[in-house]
Amino acid sequence: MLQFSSLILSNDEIAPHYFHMVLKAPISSYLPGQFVMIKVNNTNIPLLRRAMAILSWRDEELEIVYKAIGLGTKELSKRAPGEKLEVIGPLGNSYEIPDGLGHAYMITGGVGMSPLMPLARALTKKRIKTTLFFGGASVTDLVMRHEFSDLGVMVIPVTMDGSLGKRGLVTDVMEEGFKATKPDPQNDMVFTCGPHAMMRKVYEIAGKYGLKTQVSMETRMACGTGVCLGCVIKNKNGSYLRACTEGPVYYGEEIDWNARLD
Amino acid sequence: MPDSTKRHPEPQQRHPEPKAKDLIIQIGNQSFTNPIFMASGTFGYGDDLTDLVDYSKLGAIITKGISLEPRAGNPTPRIIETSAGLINSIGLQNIGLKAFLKDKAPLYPKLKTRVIANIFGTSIEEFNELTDAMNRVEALAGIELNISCPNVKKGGVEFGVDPKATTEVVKNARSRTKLPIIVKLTPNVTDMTIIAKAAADEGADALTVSNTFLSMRIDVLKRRPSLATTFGGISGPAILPIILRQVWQVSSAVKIPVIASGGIMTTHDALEYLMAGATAIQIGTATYINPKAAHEILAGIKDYLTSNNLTLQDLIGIAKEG
Ligand SMILES: Cc1cc2nc3c(=O)[nH]c(=O)nc-3n(C[C@H](O)[C@H](O)[C@H](O)COP(=O)(O)OP(=O)(O)OC[C@H]3O[C@@H](n4cnc5c(N)ncnc54)[C@H](O)[C@@H]3O)c2cc1C
Ligand SMILES: Cc1cc2nc3c(=O)[nH]c(=O)nc-3n(C[C@H](O)[C@H](O)[C@H](O)COP(=O)(O)O)c2cc1C
Ligand code: FES
Repeated sequence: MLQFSSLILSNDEIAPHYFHMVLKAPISSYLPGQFVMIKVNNTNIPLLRRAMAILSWRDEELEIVYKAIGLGTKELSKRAPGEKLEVIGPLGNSYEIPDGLGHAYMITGGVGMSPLMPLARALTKKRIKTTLFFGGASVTDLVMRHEFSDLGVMVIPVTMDGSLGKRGLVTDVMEEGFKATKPDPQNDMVFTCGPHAMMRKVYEIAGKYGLKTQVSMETRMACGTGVCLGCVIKNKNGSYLRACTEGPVYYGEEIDWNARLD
Repeated sequence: MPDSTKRHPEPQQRHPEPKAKDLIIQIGNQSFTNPIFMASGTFGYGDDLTDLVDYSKLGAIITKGISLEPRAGNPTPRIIETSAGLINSIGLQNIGLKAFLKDKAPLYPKLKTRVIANIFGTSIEEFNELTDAMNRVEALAGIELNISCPNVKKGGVEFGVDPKATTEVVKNARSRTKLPIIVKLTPNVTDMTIIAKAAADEGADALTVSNTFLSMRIDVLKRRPSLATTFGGISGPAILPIILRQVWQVSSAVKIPVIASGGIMTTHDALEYLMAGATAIQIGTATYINPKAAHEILAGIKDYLTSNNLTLQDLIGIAKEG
């Protein structure tokens, strides 16, 4: 875990409301699924840092993708190259790639794609067959889909308005896909990041086909470093585990999906 | 020609570097190298931020509240941000006394700082049992009695709002330990000085002013309270001016040291509290945002003392003079 002040190299709107930011950052090794905590400005509003998944962190350059929706991310979108931001990271655990993994199925919606990018890089490097069901309201929500294809990932786009790929819900298309191809419960696995309701559905569908699911949970975080106990996820056994430290990636069966998160 | 520079008198050292001892503070029978403590619930049990924090620069670490039995804590969501503040309803999730003694306490003799145990009971008996156990922990520098957590339904805040209950808790603890006893007060009372005096009269060594204010927010989209428990305690810069007033009042009402806790983010904030009469300060929410806040504030206080040729003792309560 490092704490550093980081120069913004670029902060570009790559699609309506979606921003890709590159920061100058000391070299660090990180794992797919890990995140950083970023202070979006140097005032007390917003007070807290924002968690951002690591899209990439190589050659002293840290990349993130975010959607400007609320106070923190809208503020972040105003930062210009040359300005500096305070960063802490890498934080949290990571997606696990089990030995002998057959086919990796990734399901995401919108900005949830970010932590799946380094995972896709690791999977394709190991020559593991990887499919991405990529959902969004419209074609502009499927950001960086070409980067996934370039890695050799089979991308299946799904949009609510039918502007790209199949029209409808990404989870419905995932289920149709599973019905047709019959994944192998012994060797295949599901990886997901996105809205809570989507991930829950993904976990349920994967379960029907006997597949395990690794989910990256999005919770409110105050510190990101394990000391506030604000970010916890309720486990099936009733205990609360810190998403910033023991998470954000969990196996779907560990989680009490009925617990309120937001 | 005579060398005129040599005749010049030696420039007077008007601003000597404050000697390290200037920053030493005494609470009960223990001394601390500086007046900056890490607040309970914002630094875990002291072993999470080892990568980022230089422990030798901390006056003390105060542990997360410890109860007799482990506590799962409150349902989620437990935190919500507000303008310059944070509302939490963690509900004292903690590993319990047994695991604390086994897994955490053995780390403390090796730390480069001192550790104060924050304890929390739902009855006098529980407080007593916890106090007895802490007496046996090697290298412990004190006990902070948490009679003020707003996030537990039973106990906690009930002691802290009642002077008689406060008297009982402190009297019992005092009879059982020579370690410094710090009583952490609640701001959720009309007049904090009444409780403060009750604690001081029973032999408390210091008072922490204070815990968080009961508060809430509503999620307008979902039309329900933002926290699962509806209410939580607010911390952070938003509460500073109110706690500052309380530190001023309490430090005027009792003779024992007051430790300020409320919204300290910067050196400036810390100086205000010291000038209002606090002997020491706790860094809480600031650590979430900047784990190095305590270091920066320590350096800032040193600078301030140096450039104003003051000692820490001079500074404490200076705003009340004249
Ligand atoms: C481990 C982890 C990794 C994350 N990675 C990323 C990432 O890579 N990119 C990214 O953009 N975000 C990511 N997030 C979420 C991010 O930290 C922020 O919470 C989120 O971007 C909203 O912040 P904000 O300050 O803009 O909104 P806030 O001011 O906190 O919220 C403003 C409003 O937006 C609403 N809102 C909050 N979150 C969402 C949401 N996801 N969708 C719709 N409405 C919402 C709130 O209900 C509120 O009404 C991650 C979170 C975690 C825990
Ligand atoms: C998430 C969180 C957890 C806390 N847990 C405890 C606790 O276990 N025991 C306690 O006495 N105080 C606890 N506190 C209160 C802090 O120690 C501190 O008194 C308070 O936050 C005000 O200071 P600040 O504004 O600097 O944070 C907690 C505060 C926060 C924000
Ligand atoms: S965000 Fe503070 S413990 Fe996880």
